[in-house]
Amino acid sequence: MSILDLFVLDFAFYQKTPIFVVKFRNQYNMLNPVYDIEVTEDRTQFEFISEGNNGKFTKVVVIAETNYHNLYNLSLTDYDATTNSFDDLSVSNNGDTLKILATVAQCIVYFLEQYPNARIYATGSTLSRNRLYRMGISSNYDLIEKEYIVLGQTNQSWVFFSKNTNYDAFLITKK
Amino acid sequence: MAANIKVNPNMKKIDPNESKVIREKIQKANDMLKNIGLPEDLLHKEIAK
Repeated sequence: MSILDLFVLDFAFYQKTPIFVVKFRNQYNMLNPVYDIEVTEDRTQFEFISEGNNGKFTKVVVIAETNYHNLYNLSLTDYDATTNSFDDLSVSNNGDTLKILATVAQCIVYFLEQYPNARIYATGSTLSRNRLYRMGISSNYDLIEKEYIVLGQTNQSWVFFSKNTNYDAFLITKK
Repeated sequence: MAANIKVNPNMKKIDPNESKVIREKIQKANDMLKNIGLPEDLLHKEIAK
């Protein structure tokens, strides 16, 4: 590992302006801390509170069955308790994007520990979110690939995940 | 960093069918997988390594 491996370039928003941020990997080699998470008894739905520049937002991760055996779809949405509604397009600009991604990654790890034969299909609600997912996976890919298989969907086909390629969707499963 | 994940027996489970957003995401996944199929060959190739 070189000294450069200890740092990673990230971007965030400061007063609605995108800025670049240099982050330092901690002793666990993970880029970001994670939020505390609550999970339903069947370990398929997770909830955490994003806290940042613009306040607190409830995030919900729902891992739900699809029409395919052992294949689950992951949805990350904002939950508004006042209207009891979900929104997967809201932009909170809370300055904690990577912390949220790291928390979602923990949800995936936890779910796959409970359901080791499951496969998780995930796609962002926008192209930019797909890029964010790709960045999140790329940042920790050296760790991820030891235990998980990550595939990317592009041009109507599946390929093994590559750090510098954008994908329409991702599929993750335990090795 | 390991997360603090706590099982909450009182946490209300969302019925995906009751949420338009989540229902649409599942439907999108189903449609996409129907079109391009499952990557069984790649998964078996990787597992066989």
